[in-house]
Amino acid sequence: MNRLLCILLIIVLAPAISAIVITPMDSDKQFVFAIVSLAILFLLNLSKRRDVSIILIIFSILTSTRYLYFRAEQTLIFDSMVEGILGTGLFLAELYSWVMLILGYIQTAFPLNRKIVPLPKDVELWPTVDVYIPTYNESLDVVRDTVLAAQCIEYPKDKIKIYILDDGKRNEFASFAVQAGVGYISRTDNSHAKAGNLNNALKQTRGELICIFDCDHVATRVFLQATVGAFLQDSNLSLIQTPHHFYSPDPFERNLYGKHDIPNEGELFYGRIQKGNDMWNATFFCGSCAVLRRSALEQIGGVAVETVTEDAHTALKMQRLGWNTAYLPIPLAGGLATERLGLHVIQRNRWARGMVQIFRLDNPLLGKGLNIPQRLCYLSAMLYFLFPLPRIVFLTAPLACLLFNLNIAHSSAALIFSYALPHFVMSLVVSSRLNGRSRYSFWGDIYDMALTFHLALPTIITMLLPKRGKFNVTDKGALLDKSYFDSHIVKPHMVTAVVLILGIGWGIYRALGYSIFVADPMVIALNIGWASYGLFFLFAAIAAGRESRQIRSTVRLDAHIPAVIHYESGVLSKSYTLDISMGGCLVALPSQHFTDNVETIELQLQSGAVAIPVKQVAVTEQGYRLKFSDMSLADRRELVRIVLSRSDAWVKPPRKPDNPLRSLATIASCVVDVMNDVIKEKANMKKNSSAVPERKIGDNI
Amino acid sequence: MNKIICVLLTICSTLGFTASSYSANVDELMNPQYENKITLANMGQVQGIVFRGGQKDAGVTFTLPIDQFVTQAQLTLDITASDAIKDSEASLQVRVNGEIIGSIPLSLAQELKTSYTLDVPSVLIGSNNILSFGLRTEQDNLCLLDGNQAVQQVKILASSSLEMTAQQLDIAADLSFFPSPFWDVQNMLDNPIQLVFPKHVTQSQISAAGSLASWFGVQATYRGVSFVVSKDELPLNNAIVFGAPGDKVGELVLPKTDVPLLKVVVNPRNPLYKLLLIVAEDGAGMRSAVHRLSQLDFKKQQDSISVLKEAAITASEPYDAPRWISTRNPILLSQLVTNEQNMTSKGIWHNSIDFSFRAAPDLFLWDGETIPLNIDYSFPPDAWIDAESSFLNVVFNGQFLQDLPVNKRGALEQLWNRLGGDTRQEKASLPIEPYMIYGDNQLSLYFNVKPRKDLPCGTALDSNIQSRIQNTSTIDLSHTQHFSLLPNLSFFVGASFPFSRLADYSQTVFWLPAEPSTVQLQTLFNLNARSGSATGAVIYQNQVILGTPKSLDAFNGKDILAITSMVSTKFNRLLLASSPFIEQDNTLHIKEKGMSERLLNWFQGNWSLSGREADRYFSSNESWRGFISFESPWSAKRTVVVALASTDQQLAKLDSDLKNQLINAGIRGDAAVITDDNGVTSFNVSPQFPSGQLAWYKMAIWYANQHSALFALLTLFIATILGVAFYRRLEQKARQRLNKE
Repeated sequence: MNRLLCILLIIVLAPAISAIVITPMDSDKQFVFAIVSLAILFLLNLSKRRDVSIILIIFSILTSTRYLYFRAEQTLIFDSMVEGILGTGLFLAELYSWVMLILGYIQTAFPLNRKIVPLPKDVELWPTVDVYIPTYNESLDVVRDTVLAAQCIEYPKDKIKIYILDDGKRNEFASFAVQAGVGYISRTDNSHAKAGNLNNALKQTRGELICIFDCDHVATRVFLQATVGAFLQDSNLSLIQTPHHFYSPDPFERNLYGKHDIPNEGELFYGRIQKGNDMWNATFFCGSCAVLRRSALEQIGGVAVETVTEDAHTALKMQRLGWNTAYLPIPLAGGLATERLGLHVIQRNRWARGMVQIFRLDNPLLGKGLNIPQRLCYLSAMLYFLFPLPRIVFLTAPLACLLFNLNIAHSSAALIFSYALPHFVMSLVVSSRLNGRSRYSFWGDIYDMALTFHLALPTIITMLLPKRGKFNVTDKGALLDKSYFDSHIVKPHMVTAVVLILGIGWGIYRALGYSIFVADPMVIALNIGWASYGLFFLFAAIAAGRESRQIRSTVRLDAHIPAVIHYESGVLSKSYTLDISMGGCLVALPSQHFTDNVETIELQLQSGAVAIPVKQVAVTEQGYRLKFSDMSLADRRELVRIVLSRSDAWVKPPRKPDNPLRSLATIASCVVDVMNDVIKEKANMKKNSSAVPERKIGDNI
Repeated sequence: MNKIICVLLTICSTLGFTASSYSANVDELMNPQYENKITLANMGQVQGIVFRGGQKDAGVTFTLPIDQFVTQAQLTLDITASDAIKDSEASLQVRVNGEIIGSIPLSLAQELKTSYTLDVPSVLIGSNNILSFGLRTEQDNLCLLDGNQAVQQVKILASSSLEMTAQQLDIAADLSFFPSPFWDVQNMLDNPIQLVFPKHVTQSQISAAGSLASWFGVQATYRGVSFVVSKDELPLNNAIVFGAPGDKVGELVLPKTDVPLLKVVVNPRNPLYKLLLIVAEDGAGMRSAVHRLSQLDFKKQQDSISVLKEAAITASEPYDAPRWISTRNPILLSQLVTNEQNMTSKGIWHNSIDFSFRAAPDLFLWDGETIPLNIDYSFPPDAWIDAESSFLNVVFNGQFLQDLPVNKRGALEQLWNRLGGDTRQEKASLPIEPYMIYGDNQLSLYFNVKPRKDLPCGTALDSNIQSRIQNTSTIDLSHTQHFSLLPNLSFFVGASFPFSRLADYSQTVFWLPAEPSTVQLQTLFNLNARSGSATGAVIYQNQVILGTPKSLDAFNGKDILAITSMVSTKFNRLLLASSPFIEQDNTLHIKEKGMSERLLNWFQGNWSLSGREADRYFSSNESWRGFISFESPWSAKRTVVVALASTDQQLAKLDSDLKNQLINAGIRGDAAVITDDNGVTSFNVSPQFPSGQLAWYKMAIWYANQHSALFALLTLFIATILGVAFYRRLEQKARQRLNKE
């Protein structure tokens, strides 16, 4: 099927397509259409074939377009100016959703499952690589293992050079670099933040390829062998991006759904969208865990500095010059997620502003060099961040009817429902089918809802004044030793929730006929349903604002490594580890059990033995729980090699497939759990309030 | 003070005859007496007369045939009054043509009906009369408002009646009186028009009589008109006689003439009655004679006229019926106003402003589209009006549409109003759903003006305020199209559609049995008159076929209106041969549908067909009359409507059935059966076919609209084609991406 034939087919079918979109129907007929359509949908959805997915996408687009056409054609009649403004606003929000739905389908219709391109046998042919680890204010504790892991990457020693790019100009980093045997680059000013930092380093190193890790991204040792081959295969490749895997829980996982097995917030992007982008040669750079070609970077004058999301913009600029990009969907590095909702909001605020900046300053629809799918993929990424305003509109629109009796869509309840039903259900089911393993249904609503009030103003201001704004670094690796409610972050959500509850109450009161206002009970019912839907996700977003206590998460590996136990008494005993992490290990009790304390553990690795001084934490039936004390850098590097930079360190089995109804139930149970926790805690606090003075933690956001 | 808010009626000038034109020396046998009873409902006050609030005067006109002379009259009034009136010492003054004939003290009136009888001096009654009523009290101001401002009522019920004894007058045999004395527009007694034919009636005579019947229909008021037909027999009455020169009709021999002739003669059975002879040799002559007759404009004291020249009768265009509202442009409401009202309401108590219009029944709008009714209106500016509770009520075809407020209702506007700003609303656009438009439509606008509660009653009564519908108000049917599904009997009974599509019936054939019975003819003419009143046009171009046509080509491109009863077996077999209906043993049946046909129907979305129920109903009723309709077997996209009955006696009842609101409204689908016991029952026996003026691509969309389940399958089909094509393309693209060199 070539391109011309596809276009010809669309032209031939255009009359039928337009008939499907424009044919008006009354609510009865439209209900028949809706029900038959949905029956077809559920039947087809039983098949998991990929071509059926494409058919369903087309079906969903037709149905949603039909809904939008109906809205535009029949419902935009208003009696007053206020209704006109609100109604037009609602329609524009729906238009936005429709555009995003179609762009989303284009992006995720056919994700590319790229495999590793093996490197040639002849090592001489391998390109030279500079590994950059940019840092600004992160602690050495965070950066240390990243550097050590980078050193563990298996690549010819003469072809790999590792650099710490320290914008914080800190001495302990310089001395650590010397100790560890890596390069250290700092500069006199901090202009253009991370982008400037990278560009400064670019001038001072020589590698053909640039590999970038954020200072918390610990690479596996196969990182370069997995990624560099693609550059040899495609001489026009400028970038290969790998997923950002987080081994610590993000705020939603920690605060909301911790005990459920649910794809985290980033999985949709790295699991499905980037794969889809790769299909259209529109993968973009995400700032870390990626390898770039120096010549491509230099051609565009280094990393882009015009916006606060330098990564995406850099990729866009390279692609405009005809360079290819690729996405390898295998997690080859692990990092720390933003820990608190407040920090998450700050990070997304930057992304949103940056993407809007690119939209304004270097719009992917305009300018040279991109093909249409590339433009649309980039556009989708940028338009996504305009979600706050439409979200707020959708959330508050039913209030116009419930509170003020305004009519913002000119239609009977039955008619608009009969049109909206297939549009809504179909896009839900098809999205679930496409993306279900990367994101369960409705979770996107929660993620967006949590951000929406905080991102609304920044995106609007940036849209109007794209040159404003500066880079702020996302804090990571901080610990929280007490649960608390981040009311600062969820205050707008709570206010909105109260107003919605009032609206629903007033609506029910009116529908029951206690009010002088004449109200169509069906319209009220529809609006109550709509408001309740929004309220539900609002509750979930509020629940995510309750910061639960966090314990440092460590990567613990169930590995049986031969070990020799050194007791304080000087006795040695042979054993093996049951599990091991960067902080300590569990060693099986040797056959001859000694009551002596353990002083040192000697791990017998293939590369040699490593002896690490330890503190004995506990003795259980299983064995000794040991905590590692200070160790030499070389020993630590060996430990990193075992624990963090295993080639399969971050590979996980796929999630269970999505089920929208189950997902809805899960969300409800998560919200209830959080509420129960809060109630229990309140009860405990009352008991202890006289004893323990209250300490505010988290004010240092 | 005495603000007269009564229906203004112009008194028509009496027709040109004098008392001398009747002879006093006719003997009693030849000079029959009539007992007439006219109720208020007959006079057009179907709801009776109601005195609301401060209203004090009301009146109604009634008319009598010019050839009747009233010798005795008695008025019976049925009155109800609410309690407050009884205590007010008010009385009801009754006048006939301005003369007081009596006064009824309302203190005796009850909430339940109370009847009063008054003698009316017969000399007061002429052919055009005004019966008027006035509420009179000793107080100057009759402030008929109680504490809640609820209006007190006096109601003269519609059952109130005037009973008269009248005598037939002998008027001259004069064409210029036409349509009197054969029919009087103002006759409130529904006396039928007598039509007489020779023994062997011809197609051209029936055609001409049909045209004339429709002309009567055009002239008739809401009461309509009906016909009695006789063959070869003169009635003891005024009558119109059709025939060829030299034909014998009863004791009358029609004059010999070469040219079509119109002539009024004395009825040989009684010289008080007159006969109008319409005599012509052939169809064309008959048509010119009737055409000439319908032009009126006869010289006075002329009893006959020869129609020498073939008149040029202008042919109709589709949908050009004079009574149908134009769908070319928006129509000003001022053109639709009824009863010569103007569009201003004076004072607080007044009648609604009424508009009426007829529309082609096949107006088509897409689902979701509406007909905009743009009302520009103004309430009186006076500050004492309670702007919060005063409204302009809009009622369309008896259905409440909306209350239009005095002030704008938006939140901002209300705030502005509080601040003292002007927020008068003077425009509104109301959407009228297409299903609300009937063949005959009534729009009623009522300024419900409420004075402020603290206002003394007198102020409101004194005021001379005016509420006004502006001349710029419109109803806009310009984006409707003519398109519908046929057969549809409700179109037929409401607007004689589809025959009236061409208002002169140039594409219509009347098809009757070879020797049509008088009842069958009568039924035809009654239907023709209904057509005339629905369209305002005379059906000059109708064609009649009796019995077996010479060639079936006669039906090509024609809609057929057939009249028959089950006894005309031979005719019925021919008529129903290729229809969904079938005649067996003088009973009507529905043809059993084959499996493939039933499947096809089901697949096309015709799920509500009720052929079996109809068949059962037809065979279970012995005496019935009704209509069936089907697509013409002789010409595609054409319709056959058959008025039929088990017997002629049953057929004769159709006219009064159609005049019965309830039955009329119940006739729909493609088979409607009326029985004395069960009223009307309608069925959909066969699938309907689309008919009208939609362009082909709109037809495609229309089909999609009608078959939404199939349409969903089409969507799947399109999605599958595109999906498979795109999938191939994407797969290819993915391979390219992964093997990049």
